[in-house]
Amino acid sequence: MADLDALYRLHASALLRYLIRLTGDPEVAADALQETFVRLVERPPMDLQSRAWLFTVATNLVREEGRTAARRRGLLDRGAADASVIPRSEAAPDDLLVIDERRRVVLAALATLSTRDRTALLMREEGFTHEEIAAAVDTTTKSVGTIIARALRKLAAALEPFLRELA
Amino acid sequence: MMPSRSDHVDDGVLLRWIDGEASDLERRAMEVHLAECADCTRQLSALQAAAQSVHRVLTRVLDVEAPAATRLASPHRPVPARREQPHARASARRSPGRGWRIAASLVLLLGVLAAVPELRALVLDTWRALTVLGPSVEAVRTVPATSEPEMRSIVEVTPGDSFRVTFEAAQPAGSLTVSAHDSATAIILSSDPHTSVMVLPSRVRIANRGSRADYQIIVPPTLDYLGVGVAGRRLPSVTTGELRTAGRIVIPLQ
Repeated sequence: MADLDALYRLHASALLRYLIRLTGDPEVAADALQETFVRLVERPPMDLQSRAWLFTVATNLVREEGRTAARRRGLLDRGAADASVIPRSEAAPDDLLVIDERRRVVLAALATLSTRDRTALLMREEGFTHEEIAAAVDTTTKSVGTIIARALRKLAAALEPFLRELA
Repeated sequence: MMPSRSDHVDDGVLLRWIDGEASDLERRAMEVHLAECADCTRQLSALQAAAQSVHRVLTRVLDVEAPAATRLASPHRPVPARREQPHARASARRSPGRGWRIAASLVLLLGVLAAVPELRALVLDTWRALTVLGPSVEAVRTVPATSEPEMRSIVEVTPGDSFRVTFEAAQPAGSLTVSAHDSATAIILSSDPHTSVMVLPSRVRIANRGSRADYQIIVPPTLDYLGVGVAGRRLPSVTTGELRTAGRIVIPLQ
């Protein structure tokens, strides 16, 4: 129990951040997070400390539960349309509008990536090795670099006007 | 010497180099090539800039604190004030004497009711029938015709409480939902051998497996709110004897 508790405290925050970015929907992300830890309890991996196992299971859950590519795009679009569903820190109303608009733009840009490219890019952001990412997206380690590089260039191009504003 | 196009370093190798994942052989070959190829050097810089930009955007724009992202709607959340409909305001402007006419009609109606006891009894009976029928009509609309009405109980407890929920009969559709504010971790101990220990994130649903099962929920003292909902064809019993502190328990049956 203590191990599970510690694992949750250690990984839940990063896993949730990853899932929100992946799905664009905090509710879907929260559900997948919970289900991942249920799986951990029910069918623990050999290596209980495996962070990659948690992220891979969570990614597969998002994939498995009827969230086809079209549906994921739909969720992302919904998230993009209603970025206010992501909780925000205390801020003035005008600032909140800007924050929501920025989130909408970023979620929409992420939604243009294929599921595999988005997963690979977001797992890299979480510090996973190319080997771990390859296992999660079911490809070769050598292909991961190409996939992520393509996703980075596409996302950066889509966000270029926005990046100037942020700078 | 300018290498031919096919000699250029591809994006995959560039990213492996950026991420420190390139093999020794790749790294040496790439360093030699970059020293001679301005094109690939530009590509490397552009890819590094893209990676930094994307990282900056994701962390600055999308990231929220995990606890806040899983926070559920609070039952104590204030109900937003109902907005007045524009057409209602327009209608009121068109009829400035409307309020007086309604008041006069009510006074006249009360006068008639006071004078005619039979009419008063008829109006009261009709009113009672309407108020009793109201919820039933709502229930018929929400319950599937082929199943029994789903029952729900909601339990609210105070921090430090521990209580037990028992599914007394087979309930294929039964489920237990526990929701908490913040990222506090609560613990659920179950009599179901398949769910011996459950570490609770902010919210979890446990599907009852069609057999009698006890769930003991231990609420951490740091928690300021925990809601427990139970849904099933038959209402599970909620044993309050386990409460260690005086908890507020509300079980509205819908």
